[in-house]
Amino acid sequence: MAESAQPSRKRRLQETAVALPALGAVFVGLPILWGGGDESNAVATSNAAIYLFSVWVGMIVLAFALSWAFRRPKAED
Amino acid sequence: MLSFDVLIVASVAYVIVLFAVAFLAERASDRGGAKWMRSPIIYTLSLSVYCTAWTFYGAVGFAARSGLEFVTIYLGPTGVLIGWWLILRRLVRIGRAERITSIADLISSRFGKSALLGGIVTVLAVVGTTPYIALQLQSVTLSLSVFAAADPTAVIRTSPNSTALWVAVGLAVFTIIFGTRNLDSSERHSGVVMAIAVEAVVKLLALLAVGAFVVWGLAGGVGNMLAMIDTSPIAEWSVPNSRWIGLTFLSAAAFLCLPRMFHVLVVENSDESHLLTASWAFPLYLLLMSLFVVPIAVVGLNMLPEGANPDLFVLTLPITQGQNGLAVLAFLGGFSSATSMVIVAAIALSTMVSNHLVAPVWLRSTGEGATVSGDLRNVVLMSRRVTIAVILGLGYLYYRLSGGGAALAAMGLISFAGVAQVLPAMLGGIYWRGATRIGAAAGFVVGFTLWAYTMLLPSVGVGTILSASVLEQGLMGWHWLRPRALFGIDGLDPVIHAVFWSLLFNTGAFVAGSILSTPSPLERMQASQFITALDQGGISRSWKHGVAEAEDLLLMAQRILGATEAQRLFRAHAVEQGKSGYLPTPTPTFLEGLERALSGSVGSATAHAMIGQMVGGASVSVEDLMAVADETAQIMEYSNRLEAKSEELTNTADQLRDANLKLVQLSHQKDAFLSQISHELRTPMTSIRSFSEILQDNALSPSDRVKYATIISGETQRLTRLLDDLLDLSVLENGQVTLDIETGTLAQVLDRAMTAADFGGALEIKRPRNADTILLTTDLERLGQVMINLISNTRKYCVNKRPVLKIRARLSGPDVELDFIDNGEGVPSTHRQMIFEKFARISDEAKAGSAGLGLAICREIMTNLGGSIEYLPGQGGAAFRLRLPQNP
Amino acid sequence: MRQHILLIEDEPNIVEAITFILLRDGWQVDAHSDGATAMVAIRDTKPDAIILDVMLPNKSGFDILGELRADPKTSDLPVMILTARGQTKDRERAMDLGADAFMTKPFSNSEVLEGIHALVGHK
Repeated sequence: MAESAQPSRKRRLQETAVALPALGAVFVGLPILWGGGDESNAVATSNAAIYLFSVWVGMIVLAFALSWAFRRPKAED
Repeated sequence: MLSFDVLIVASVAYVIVLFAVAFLAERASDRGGAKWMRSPIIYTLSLSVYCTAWTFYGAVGFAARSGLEFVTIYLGPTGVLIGWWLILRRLVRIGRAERITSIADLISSRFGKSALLGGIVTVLAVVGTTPYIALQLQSVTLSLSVFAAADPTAVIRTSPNSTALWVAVGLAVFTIIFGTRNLDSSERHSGVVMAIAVEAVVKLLALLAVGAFVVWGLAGGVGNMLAMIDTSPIAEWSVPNSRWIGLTFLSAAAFLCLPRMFHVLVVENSDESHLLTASWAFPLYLLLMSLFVVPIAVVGLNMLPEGANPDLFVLTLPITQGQNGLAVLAFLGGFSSATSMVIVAAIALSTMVSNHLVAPVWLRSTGEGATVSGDLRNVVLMSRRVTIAVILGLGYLYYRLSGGGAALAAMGLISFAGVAQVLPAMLGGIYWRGATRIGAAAGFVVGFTLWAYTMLLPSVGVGTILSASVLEQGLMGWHWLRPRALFGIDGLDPVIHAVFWSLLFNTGAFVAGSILSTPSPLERMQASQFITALDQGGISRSWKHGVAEAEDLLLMAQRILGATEAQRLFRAHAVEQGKSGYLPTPTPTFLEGLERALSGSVGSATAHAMIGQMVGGASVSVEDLMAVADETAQIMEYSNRLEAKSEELTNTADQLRDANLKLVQLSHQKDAFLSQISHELRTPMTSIRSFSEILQDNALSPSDRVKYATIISGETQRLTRLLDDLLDLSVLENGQVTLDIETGTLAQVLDRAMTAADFGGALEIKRPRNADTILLTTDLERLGQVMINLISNTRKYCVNKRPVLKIRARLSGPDVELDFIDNGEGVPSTHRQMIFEKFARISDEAKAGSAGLGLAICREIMTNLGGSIEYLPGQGGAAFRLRLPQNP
Repeated sequence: MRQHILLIEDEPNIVEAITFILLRDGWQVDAHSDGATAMVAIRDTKPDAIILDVMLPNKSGFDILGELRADPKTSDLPVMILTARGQTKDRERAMDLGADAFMTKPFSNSEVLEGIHALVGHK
C-alpha cells in the first residue's frame, strides 16, 4: 500500500507547487478590483499595506511548508 | 557631528573585509572544505544582487511618490520563486545538464549553438546594463555627497566624478581578481558568492535598522506609525491597475532575464535542491527589504524639509536625527547594494562577451580554430579581464555623460523592459519543441526595436535622437507611429505601453517565425535535450550477468538507436519469426539486421564488434559492453552538441577514437581468450580420448593399462582444475563473489596457505617475523588462495637449486603490504605487463602444468578485496607485492 | 623397412598416445617437442610424413610448415596439422600454407591412422 501511496503523494506535491503561484497571483491581483479603476475609490495605504504584507507572509509560509514536504521523503530513506 | 573622514575609513575598512572574505572563501573552496559555502542559505543570499542601490535607496523614493506601487518590484521575483517548480527548476536543470554559462549561452545553445543569437543577446545585455551600472556609481557618489554636505569641516575634497572613478576602479579590480581567477566550465566563483552573501546581510540589516529606528524611535510604535501613514501625503492609494499588473510581470520577467540574475540563479547554483530553500527564504528576504519602505517614506516626508530628495531618506533621516552610527550603516547598506550588483553584472557580462563575441571572432580570425586548448583559454581569460574593465569604464562614461541627472533614475525600469525581451525566446526554448532560431531572432529584433523606439529613445530626451515632432506626430508624420501611443492608443502609462507592445510583437514574431521556419538537425536535437531535461536521470542500471540475451541486445540497441527505433526493429524481427512481443530469438539473420541498423549510428566496425561481444559471451561481461555503448552514445551526443566549441572538438574526437579502439581491442581479446580456452580444454581431452580408446584394446599389458589409466586420471584432474579456475575467475571478474570477512592474524593465513601449497619439493619459506602482530579483517580464505598461488608459482618457476621464498610484511597507512620474493631469475621486464593476463605463461607450458590463470585470479581476488597485486622489480628474483586494506 | 613418421608436439601425454597407436600400427615414430630440433631431424632423417601441432613453444606449427614448404627438399613432404583451437580460421590457414591433412583435437585414434595411411598412400 505504501508503494502505491508514494507516487500519488509526489504528484499531489507537484500539483501544489504549480497551484501556489497561481494562488499568489490571484491575491496579488485582487487590489485592481478595489478601486474599480476609479481614482476617487482610492483605499487607505495603511490597510492596503497590511493586506499585501499578510498575503506575502501567507505565501512564504505556504512555500516553506511545501519545501518541507518536498524534502521529507528523502529524510525517511 | 559625523566626520567625513570616519565614513571614508569605515568604507575602506568594509572593502578590506570584503576582499578578505572573498579571498578566504576562495582558499577554503580550493581546499575542498567549507561545504557550508555551498549551502542553500548562501545561495538565497546571493540572489539578493537583485536588490541594487536602485531598490535600496530608490524604493523609498518610489513609495514617497506612488505609495505602495513600489512592492511590484519585489512581488514579481517573489512569484518566480514561489513558482520555482514551473520555470526555475527547469532552467537550473538545463543549465547544469548543458553546462550553460550565461543567458546568452542558454539562448544560443537551445537554438542550435547559434553564434548570431548569442551575439545579439550579449550586445543587448551590455546595452541594457551599462546605464544600470552608471546608476550604481551615481548612488554611491550621491550618498557620499550627503555626508560631505553634513560635515561642515569637510571642504569638498573629493569631486563626485573622481569618487565615481575610484569606485569603478576598485570594483573592476575586485571583479577581475575574484571573477576571472580561473576558467572553470561551471563558471562558479566561491569568493564572489561569499562576498555577495555578506553584502546581502549588510544591506538587509541596514535597512531593517533604519526602519526600526524610524518606526519605534521616531514614530513611536506600530500604532502611531499606521496613524501617521493615514495622515501622510500618501495616505490614499488608488490602485493603478495596468501598472500594478504590468510592473509585477515586468519585474518577474527581469528577475529571470537580467544577466546577473541568471548568473546567480542558474550558473552559480551548485545544487538543485537549493531552490527548495530559496523558494521561501528569498521571498522572505524581499519582504523584509520592503517592510519599512513606506514608514521611512512617510516619516521622511513628514520630518524633512520640503524638497528633500526622497531617494535619500534612508540616509538623511538618521543624519538629521544625529544617529551617526546608523547613518554609516545605512551608507554601507547602499554601498553593498551598488557594489554587489556591479560585480555580478560585470562577471556575467564578461562571460557573455568573451564566449559569444570575442571567442567566435578570434576563432574565425585564426582560421584553423583552436587546436591547442591552452590558446583559447588564455584568450578567454584575457578577454574577460579586459571586458570587465571596459564595462566598468562604460558605466563610468555613461555616468559622466548623463551628468547623473534624473534621466538616470528611470533607467531601472527601462533596463528591465529591455532584458525582458529575452523572455519569450527563453520560455519558448525550454517549453516548446517547435521554437526555432529564426523565430527567436525575429522576436529579438522586433522586440528590441519596439523597446528602443517606445522606451529607450524617448527617455534619452526629446530632441536628441527622436525629435519632438516624431514624439508628437509619429514617425514620418504617421500618427499611429507615435512612440508613446502606438496605433493611436493614448492614455496608457508609458512604461506599460512600451512593455505591452514590445513583448506582444516580440512573442508574435517569435511564434510566427518558429512556425514558418524549419529547424536544423542540431537545433532539433538541442530542443529535445532542453525539453526533456527533466525526464532524464534516475534510470537505474542493473544487469544480469552472462551471455547476451535478446533483452540485453534490445537495451543496448535502445541506447544507440533510441527507444522507438530499436523497439520497432526488434518487433519487426519478432513478427518475422512468428513471435509476439519485442524479443526475437537472436538468429544470425536478426543479428545481421541489428548490426546494419547499429552501424548507421556508430560505424560498421564498432557495430560489428558490439554484436560480436554481446553474442560471443564469456570473456567480456555485458556491463563492459554497455559501458562502452553508453560512452559511445554520450560521446556522439556530446560531439554533436559541441560543434561550435572547437577547443573541445579535438578532445572529443580522441575520446571517440579511444572508445572505438577499446571495442576493437576487446574484440581481439575475446577471440584470443576463446581460442585459449578451446586449446586448454581440448588438450587434456585429447589425451583422455586417445587413451580411453587404447584401453579398450584387450591386448594391453597390465602395467601399460595402469599407466594409461593414471594418465587419464591426471588429465581429468587438470581439466577439473581448469574449469574451477575459469569459474572462479568469471565469478571474480563479474563481482558476484560474496566475501566472507573475518579477522585473523597474518600468521594464521600463512599457515593455512603453506600447508595447502606444500606438496613436496625443497622450497624454503622465510616468514615475516611480525606475522603474528598483523591483524587483518578481510576474506582470509581468498587471501590465502592468493598466497597459495604465489607459493606454488615459486615452486614451479624458481630455477635456483636451493629455492628460497622470502615473505615480508609491513603496515603502510591503512594498508598492509606483503612482498613475496624468491631467489630465482625473476620475470623479464618485457613480460611483467602480461603475467597477470589470462593464459599468460612465459616458460613452456608442460612445466607449468596449469592453464596460466593463477595470477589472473590473484589479481581479481586482490581487486575484490580492495587491494592490488603488482610485480615488484629490482629484487633479484621474482617478487610480487600484495597490498590490501587492513580493514575493509 | 618400416615407414617413418615424425611427430612434433609438446604435450607429453599426447606424444605418448600418438606414438603408441602408430607403433602398434607398424610405423616408426620420432617425437620432438621443439620446432628447432625437429627441423634438424627432418633434414637428417627424411621422414615419410609429419604430424605437426600448431601451438608450440617458441615457433608455431604454421611457421614450421611455412619453412618446410619453402625448402625445395621438403616442399612435398606430407604434413598433417593438429590443432586444439578448433577454428575454421586455423584450418584455412593450414590449407593455404600447404598442409595435406588437418585434424582437430580431440581426435579418435582411428582418424589419425586413416589420415596417415591416406597421406603416405598418396605417394
